[in-house]
Amino acid sequence: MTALAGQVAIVTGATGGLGRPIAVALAAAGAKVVATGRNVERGEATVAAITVSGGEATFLAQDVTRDEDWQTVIAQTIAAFGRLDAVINNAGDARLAPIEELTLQDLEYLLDLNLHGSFLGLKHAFAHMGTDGGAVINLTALPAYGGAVRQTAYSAAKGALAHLTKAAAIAGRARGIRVNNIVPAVLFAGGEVSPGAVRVQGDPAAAELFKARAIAQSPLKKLGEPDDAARAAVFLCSRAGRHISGIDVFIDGGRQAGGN
Amino acid sequence: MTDLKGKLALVTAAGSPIGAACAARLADAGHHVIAADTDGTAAAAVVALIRQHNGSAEFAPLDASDERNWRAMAGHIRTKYKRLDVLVQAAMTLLVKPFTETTLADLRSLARDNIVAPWLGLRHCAPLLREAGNACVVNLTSTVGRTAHGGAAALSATAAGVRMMTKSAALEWGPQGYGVTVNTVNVGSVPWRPHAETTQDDLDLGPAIAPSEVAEAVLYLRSPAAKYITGMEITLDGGRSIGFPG
Repeated sequence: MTALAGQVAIVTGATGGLGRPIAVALAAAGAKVVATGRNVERGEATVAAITVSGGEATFLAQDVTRDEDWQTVIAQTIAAFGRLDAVINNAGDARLAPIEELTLQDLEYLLDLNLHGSFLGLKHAFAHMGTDGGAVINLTALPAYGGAVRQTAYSAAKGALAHLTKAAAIAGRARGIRVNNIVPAVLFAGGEVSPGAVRVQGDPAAAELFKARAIAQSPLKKLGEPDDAARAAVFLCSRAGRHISGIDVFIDGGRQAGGN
Repeated sequence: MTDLKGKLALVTAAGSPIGAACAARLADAGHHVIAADTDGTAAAAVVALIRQHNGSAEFAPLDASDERNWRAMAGHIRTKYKRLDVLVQAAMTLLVKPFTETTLADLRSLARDNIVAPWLGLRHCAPLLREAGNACVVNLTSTVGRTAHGGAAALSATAAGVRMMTKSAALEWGPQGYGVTVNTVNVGSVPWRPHAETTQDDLDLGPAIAPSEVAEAVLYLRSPAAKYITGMEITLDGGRSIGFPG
């Protein structure tokens, strides 16, 4: 597959979760991938998963909330590969609790990682993408589009991010920079779970219950896989997505459509 | 509206045009109003005006983005009134600046004023609102949180964050018997703060909205007629943010 041949993509949080399958899928489609994250060992495992199938990738340690880290990642990306075509702002986190139990530190942490980190990714993409533009993808979540119990802080952060995407899409029009959201909801594959399911990690009984409920709530009556989100990322970065900007791609089995 | 006599309302940014209008309207409907603001002069003027019209009001200093301020405010209300019937959060910091010129410091500052502040209000007033039964929260924000604006990316993002935070609080509190409704009022072209460094004059947000019209929407959400309305949004912009006018 060569949908992304010649492209250079940065994937943040590529140390696991959805970041790894996204990085693997972009590389499989021909992109040179810069996988970033805080855990070197897990990041190198992502790179190994790519190179073992003949793909090209490198890992760079990065805390997405630090502007200096972004400057380094961008400089090394340009030095190694000569250009930048895509930034996937995948790094993020959730903290779920009733508002009475959440702290100001929880909210600030979620704003920092989900909103400010992605904002920096956007800023650096705008500063370094070439004359033929490029693609930025932000990872949001269903609470960015409607309320969710125990998620006042998370929905505030992801809601802001989802809308930042649209404002940036408007700003990117003249430059050919397309900015879109991918909205994964309840994706499972082996031991890896999506951010929405992180809370049941390490608790098999709770995980089974969570899965059963997710299946019951899914209009398609089945769970998605991380690769479903990864394929959407490839599509949005490819020529097939060249006229798409400012949208939300829900990878949720139809849940956001409503009903039960 | 006699059933609102003696009820307690807290209005943040009460010295701003919108906050002042909400405070005055709630007082007129019978509430005792705590007019909270960092700007003591403007809020004191609002209190004086309410008293001139035989209403009941007091000024309280509040920097809504500071958690210690909210703790003090909640403590004051608990000691003196035991509960809170209405919370109107009218503070909004504007930033009209192209996305590419917006800095991380800009975004952080707006997130603090426009998201963290009302979240702290919800967080610290929650037990007081629960005590009241049939209590009501209204968070005011800008319509750019509905239809994004490239010339106000940070403002658009933070306004959207308020909408989703409000819905989450409504969902969290609604079905659990708190008896607290939580709604958003999105406002288009309105003077949030007089003499502000940044104004939204460069954004096309529809016809000018009078602060008194915002206050009427708030009072409706506070009225018995709206007791089953929660997690919803009222948008005041003459339809400007619906879609794509030709």
